[in-house]
Amino acid sequence: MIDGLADIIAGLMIIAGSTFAFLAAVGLWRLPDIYTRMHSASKTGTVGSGLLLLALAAHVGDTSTVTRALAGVVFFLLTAPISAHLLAKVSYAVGYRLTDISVVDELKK
Amino acid sequence: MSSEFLNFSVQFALVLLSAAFLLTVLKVIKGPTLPDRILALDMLVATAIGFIAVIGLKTGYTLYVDVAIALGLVGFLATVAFARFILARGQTEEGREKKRLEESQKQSETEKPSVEPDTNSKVVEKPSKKPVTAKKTASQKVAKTPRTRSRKTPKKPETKS
Repeated sequence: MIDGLADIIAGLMIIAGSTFAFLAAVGLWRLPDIYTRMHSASKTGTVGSGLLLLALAAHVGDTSTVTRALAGVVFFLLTAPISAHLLAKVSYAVGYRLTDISVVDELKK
Repeated sequence: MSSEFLNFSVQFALVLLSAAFLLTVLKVIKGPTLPDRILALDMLVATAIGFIAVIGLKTGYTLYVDVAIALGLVGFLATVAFARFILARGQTEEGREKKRLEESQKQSETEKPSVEPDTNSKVVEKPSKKPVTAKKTASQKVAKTPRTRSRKTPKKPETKS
């Protein structure tokens, strides 16, 4: 019974995570701007792969695997915003423009 | 029943992750600018980590979780290095034009009260040029204003390229 519950939880997490990853990839195409694309890819993509790793941890239940999966999730959650912030800052500094329909540009001097 | 559901969800996830992977690769190929491609590469690493998790769940090869962690590290470092590369590559054409426009605006703003800052800068420079007479400084003043301007204009592409 408990095994079945873990299976169902893992299955739901897998479905949610892969949906998030797919939506991140769709957002890369649908959004008009490097900055909005970054918002899609870094946030949604991180949640997607994090959910998939957590599903692996929930399914296997082995202590070493759970620890490694959780370490991977924490590492990914730590590094993804840093790299996205760095990329956005650099591309703004170099002069890639915001899209025309963007409402406000807080960094404008 | 529950394992059937898990099997179905694994198949579903593999299909969706494959689609995401394909879309991201196409974005790497097509992406109009360099940051788009770098972002798509970052996204590719995330999708690959998801793949590793799903495959590990399906087959039981949990050893690949270590590979996923290492892949995340490499992807992060690659993104940081690419960001530094964008910075080192310099301004885009649009950014160059924008900055030129801003600087010309700034110059036209500063040129209106240009008499006062010029005399101020002369006072600062005077101690270094002690033997120079007042007449020479006056002639230099006339000659210097175009010289600084002409020095500034070729300097612009130097700093930005």
